[in-house]
Order: sequence, then structure tokens, then C-alpha cells
Amino acid sequence: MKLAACSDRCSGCRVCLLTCALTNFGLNNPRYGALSIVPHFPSPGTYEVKVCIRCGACKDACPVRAISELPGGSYRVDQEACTGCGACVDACPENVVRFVAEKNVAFVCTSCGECVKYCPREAIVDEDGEVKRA
Amino acid sequence: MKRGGYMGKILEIDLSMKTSRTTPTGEDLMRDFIGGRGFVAKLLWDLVPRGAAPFSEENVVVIAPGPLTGVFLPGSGKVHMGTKSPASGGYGDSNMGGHFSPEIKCAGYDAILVRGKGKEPTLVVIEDDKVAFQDAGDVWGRGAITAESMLKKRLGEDFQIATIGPAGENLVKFACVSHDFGRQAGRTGVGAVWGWKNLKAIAVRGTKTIPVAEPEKAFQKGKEMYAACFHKPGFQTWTPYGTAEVVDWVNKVGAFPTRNFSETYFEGYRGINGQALKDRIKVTDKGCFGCPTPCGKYSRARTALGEVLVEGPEYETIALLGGNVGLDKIEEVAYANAVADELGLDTISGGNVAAFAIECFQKGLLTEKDVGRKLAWGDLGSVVFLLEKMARREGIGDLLAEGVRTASRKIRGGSEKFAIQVKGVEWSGYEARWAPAMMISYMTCDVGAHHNRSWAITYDVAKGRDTLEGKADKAIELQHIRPVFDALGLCRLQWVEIGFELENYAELFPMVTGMDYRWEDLIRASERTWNLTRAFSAREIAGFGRSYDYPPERFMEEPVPDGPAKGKLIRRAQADALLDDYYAKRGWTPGGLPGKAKLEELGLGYVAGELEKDGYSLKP
Amino acid sequence: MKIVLSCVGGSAQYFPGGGKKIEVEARDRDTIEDMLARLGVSKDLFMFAQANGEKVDLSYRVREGDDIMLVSPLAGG
Repeated sequence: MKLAACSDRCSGCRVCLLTCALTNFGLNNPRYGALSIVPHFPSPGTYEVKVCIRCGACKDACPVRAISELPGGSYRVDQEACTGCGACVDACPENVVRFVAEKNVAFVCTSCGECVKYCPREAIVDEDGEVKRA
Repeated sequence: MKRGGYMGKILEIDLSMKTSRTTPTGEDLMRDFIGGRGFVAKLLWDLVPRGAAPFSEENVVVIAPGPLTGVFLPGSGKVHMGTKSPASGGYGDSNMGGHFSPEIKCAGYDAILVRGKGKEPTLVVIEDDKVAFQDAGDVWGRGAITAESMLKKRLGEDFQIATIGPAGENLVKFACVSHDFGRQAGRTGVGAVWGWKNLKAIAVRGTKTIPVAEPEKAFQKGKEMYAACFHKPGFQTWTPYGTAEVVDWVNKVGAFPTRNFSETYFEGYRGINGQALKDRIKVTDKGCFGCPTPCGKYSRARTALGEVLVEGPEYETIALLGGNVGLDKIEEVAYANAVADELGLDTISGGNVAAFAIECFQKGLLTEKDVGRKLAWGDLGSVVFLLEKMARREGIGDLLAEGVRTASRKIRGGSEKFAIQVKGVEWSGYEARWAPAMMISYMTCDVGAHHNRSWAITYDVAKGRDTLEGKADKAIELQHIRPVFDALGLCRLQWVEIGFELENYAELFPMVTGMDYRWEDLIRASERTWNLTRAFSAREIAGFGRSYDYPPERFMEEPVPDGPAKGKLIRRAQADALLDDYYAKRGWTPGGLPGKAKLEELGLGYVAGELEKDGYSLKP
Repeated sequence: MKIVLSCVGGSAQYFPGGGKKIEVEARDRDTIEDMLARLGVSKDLFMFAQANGEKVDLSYRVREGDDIMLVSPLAGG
């Protein structure tokens, strides 16, 4: 499972953000979704979808080495080790690392693929073709 | 059972004192009125002093999401906004999509009340618990779209912003509140009340989590709801064209507003339909929070007057700023749409008033000297000229800005007969001389001539377009069902357009809120709200009732001249028969007031006392 | 010849079978309008149709085994 964005299909609904927050934390809060939906209005009138590009900048920025790379290529925050400093949030070039206030931890995309299942527009897809819209 | 959906607080903003405070969201408010439109109705009844002028410090604007707004389910992005309407003098409300509503929830509020009047143009900035009043001097006077753009740059993209344009600032009776570069709370002049209160914009940023009573169950149900929508047969066909897709059909059945509703079939409709939109101008499918079926069509259109970017045109705009003014090119309708959006003018009323002015000119009731130029059907220049003049109250625009009811009373010469309005609110996109269920829907819609509460034309087609039987019942049924969505804080298009079943919402409601309500309970609250909004208008407008429920004389005196509905009209006796049936079925008096027994049945006994004070008889 | 008919949207409530797929006998050269007339359903209840997934108008002539989905008018916001 590897996320890819098809921004020209995005309609700005942010269902992906809620799906992510609910899947990973059980919290109904779009600000915890590990993606970014960037509107470009009034001109040119399109949305931009930013997903985790697995650049590792979050891991490099973490002062306590709470972020590790998993075999599949995605990253994971060790919530026990995370001190909530937010360095990874600032380091992410795509602005898709989140800070979850209720848990005082950072969160990076785990490539769970749930956003792919519930994006109504297929604006987020699995490059590997394994996960599809529900 | 744990509670959820609600944030537990109502934010009250006092523009005069530049202060704010919160109060707990009342148990009885949630229990009896649910949220959204229900909150609007009850809070206006309670908080607007009897007889307060629409343009006054005492008038209140209520902005209310619903308990399901911002929650994980299709269409959870709507906000309901209401006030004492400057257009009708009675209950006014309007609904808006985009992302404003979920942001209000995430900032921690079930409703925002706006009171008082700013000493100077004001921007209210809400960030979770913090409320700040900023000087809006540098955005005052700017278009609604431009102002939002400026404020987004200043405050940040993660603020959701609602603005008014020059029309609201100039107290145009059909000024709207705008948001998200193309969404509006369009009807009944809510934008004018903002303008009078010197409220240019509200910016909201919320970071809180919305509580859910049974999180795992609700999430699972939400996932099933989205998946079900994805697999509805209509899911694929609907989105590419949006609401414009119905243009052909409305013409086919002879219900399309054409040249100020003088006709009901527009010969140029193929140039302004969904296909024309998709082929010639569409850029993006743009939707609201949580929506799987984005109806918004963001477009780029080029005309002789210039190029615009606009969200639209939506069906209503195609009807009122298209066929109704004789424009037969989608690019020109889009251009007029963009002009109206930047000015902060409701496109429905704007198109209706423009058409009225053009007909007056054609009949010599307005001269070139009165207007400042010639006016013609099918002329984009005429339409744009009128919209600009209205928004700025310049020249003839000052009178037109009052709406067609008032303008026609001043202009006279028989123009009152073709002022196409009910209760001072201009008629929207479905002509109904051959659709009695749609006709009674428009006559009795609580805010004036709007189609949102009851869309019943297919009922007419299915049961017979000439019969009156069952038509009032259908209107009543829809007037209860459709506003349930306005109370829940949701969009109804998934149900309305792709047949997504109502039971789904009933199932989810207890999972989110922890309230053991069934669909019937939501309908009951909707009926309660319906009676309360009627009562509010009765309290605020002396002699309110039946006489405010009639359609314009054009519909009762002029048979449709041509097209599929040729020869059709609604005779006054038929309008009376429909009203008699409607009032009886609702438990209302023959004079059109809620009956005392009905009010008591709905727990609105206190309302009966207030209306009897005004001398209304509430005996059915 | 046998045709499968269904409909989507607000007019489903006025359609036999309530919008679910029904199998109908069609005559040679029948259009969708002809079939609706025979079913006693007004053609004005629908905007257009999809024949085997492709958009067609109601004057489309049906063929053996066609899967026709009738699309109701959008019912206003």
C-alpha cells in the first residue's frame, strides 16, 4: 500500500482527514488526519492533496528517536517515546504530520489505506492497486 | 448514556460592547428543537423582542450548525442562519454549505448569536475559546469574494470565513452571506442584517474534537453510509453536471422561469443546461465538508464583458439569471453569477428583481431616463447594470434593492401583478401554474416564495397536474421531512438526488448524540419548528395569515401563453381550496394561524398566549 | 424481448417495484417512452435514462437484454 494523490479529482470534502483521525485515534477531528487538503481559490479554483511522501524528514527531526521506518516504507511514531515536542510537525515538507492534543503525541501516516477506501472522488489512491474505494 | 454531537455551548457576541459570553446549550433546546434551523426558530422567538425592527440592535442573527455537523457521515457541512427578515418583516432563514459549520462545532459551539451593532465595520475572529473584535475598515466596501481572499491571506488558510459584500453593507433586502468562494446563505436578506450591524465578516478556527456517544458504532455506520452512497446507481451520473442537470427536464414539463415568469419554457435552454456547463466552462467539482457528491461546479467563463471564475451556475441561478432574464449562453449566466457573488447578492432574488425591472421597462413603466439606459431581455449588459445598481443602491437600484413587492407598490401601473413574490421574498426556480403541489408549497413556505421546504413537482406529474387532491398533504409531508436536515446540520442532496435512505440518518442519530430518538421524533421536532416560525411571523407582522399566502396575480390571472403548460393557471378559487385543505390538515385556523390545540399538542402553549395577545383567533 | 428496468431518485416512489430492478417485456421498436406508457408511468417523471451505463434520452429504442436505469429529476436543494 503506497498512497498517491490525484489532486485534480479532489473536491475539498476532507472525508479523508476524518477517516484518518477516526481510524487511528477514534477521534472525530479532521485536524488529526495525516494528509493536507489545500484549496487554491479563487484562482485557479482547484484543490491540492498532499500525502506522506515517505521522505523521512520527521524521523530525522525527532530528538528522541521516537519515529522509525517500517519495512513497507511508511513511518510510525512510538507514542510512548514521543514527548510531544512537535519538531516533526515543523519538519514535514508536505505539512502532513499532526499533533494530537488529547494524547500529547505526534502522528505520521501509517499507510493504513483507510483514506483510499473512503475518498469519494478517488483522489487518493493506492499506487500498488491493492486498496480500493469502499 | 454518554452524550455526543453537541458541543454544549452557545456563543453570544455583542457587537455594540465588543464582548462575548457563552451559555450552556439548553436541554430543552436540544430535546425539542434538535439544532440548526430548530435552534434558529426557538432562539429568535425567545431573544428578538416583539416588534423589534429587522435593522436594529435588538434583532438577533442566529448561526447554528446541527448535532451531526462535522461528524463522519455524508453531507455533514451545513449551517443554518436566521433573523427577523428585512424582506418579509417576519421569520427569515437561509442555509449554507462549505466548511463554516464544522469549524464552528470544532471551535466548541452549537450556535452563535449576534446582537447589537458595531460602532465601525467589524471582523469577529473566533479561535476556539478566544473571541476577538477587529477593525474591518480595510475590507469594508470590498466584494464578498475579495474580502474572503484578503482575510484568508491575513489570518491563514485554516480559518473558515463568512463575509458580506457591498449589497449587505448597503442593506439590500436580498443581500446574502458568502463563504468558501462560492457558497451563500442567500435568501431573506440575512446579509443586510449583518450589514446594518456593521458585521463584515466572521472568521472561525476550531481545533476541538466533536464528542460522539458511541464512537465505534457511529464510525462503522458512517463508513457504511459512505460506501452505500458510492454504490448508488445515481452516484456516477449526478456529479459531473450538478444541479444544472435538471434544466432540460424543467423545460420539458413547462416549469422553467422565463422572462419574469411570463412564460414557462425557454427556447434557449440548451445553451444553459448541464451539458453546456460541463462542456464549456467547468473547472472543478467543488463540495462541502463530508460530501461524497459535490454539487458545486467551479467554472471559468469568458464573455464580451470579460472573464470570470465562479462556483456555479447552480440550477437556481440558471433559472433566475438565465431563462428568467432571457440569457441563453452559459458563459453569460456564469458571468452574471460571478457579479452577484462578488456583490453579495442572492442570485435568485437578484435575477427575479432584474427581470421585473426589464419587464417594467418593456411596458414603459420605467423609462430610459428612470433607469439610466435601455433594458432588454437576453442582454447581459442590462442584467449586470441592474445587479450593480441594486447592490450600491444607485439610481433606480435604490428602489429595486427593496425587492419586487415594495418596488411594484411604488412603480404601480399594474406591476404589482407581475412582482413574482410571496411575503416579500422573490419566487425561486420553479414556475408552478401547472403544478398545484408545487404552487401550495411556494404559497406556504414559511420564509416566503422558496422551494427548499417542499419540492413537489414530480408528485404533481405522478398524480395528475390538474387535480388539487392530495397536494396540500404532500406539501405538508415534505415541509416536515426536508427541514429535518436543516435541524441536523446536514445536506439533504444524498437523499434527494441519489435516493440515499432516510433510515440511515435515524439510525446514526442516537449513536452520535446518545439521544434515543427515532425518525418520528425528528419529524415531530420539525413540525414544532414549522408552527413556531409561522407564529413568529404572526407575532411580528400585524394581520399576518392567509392573505400573505397567495401567489402573485400573474399566476392567478394569466394563462401560460405557450409551451408544455400552455393555458394553465391557478384560479383564485383553487388557491383558496388549496389553502383551506392545507390549513385544515395542519390543524390551523381558516385564517392561517396555528390552532390553539395544535400548539398545545406540540408543547407550544406559550406561543398561543402570545398570539392571542395580538388579537389573533386560534380556533380552527 | 426482455428488458431490465429500474429507476433512481425521487420518482422511484411512483415506479412499480419502487425503483428496484424489474424485468419487463418489450415489443420490437419500443422506445423507453413506449414502455413507460404501457406501464402507466408518466415519462415526465424522468429526466433521461442510462442504457447499459450510457446516457440516453427517453426516445432511445430498447434492445434485447438492455439494462435501463431511469433517472429522476433532481429535486431541488
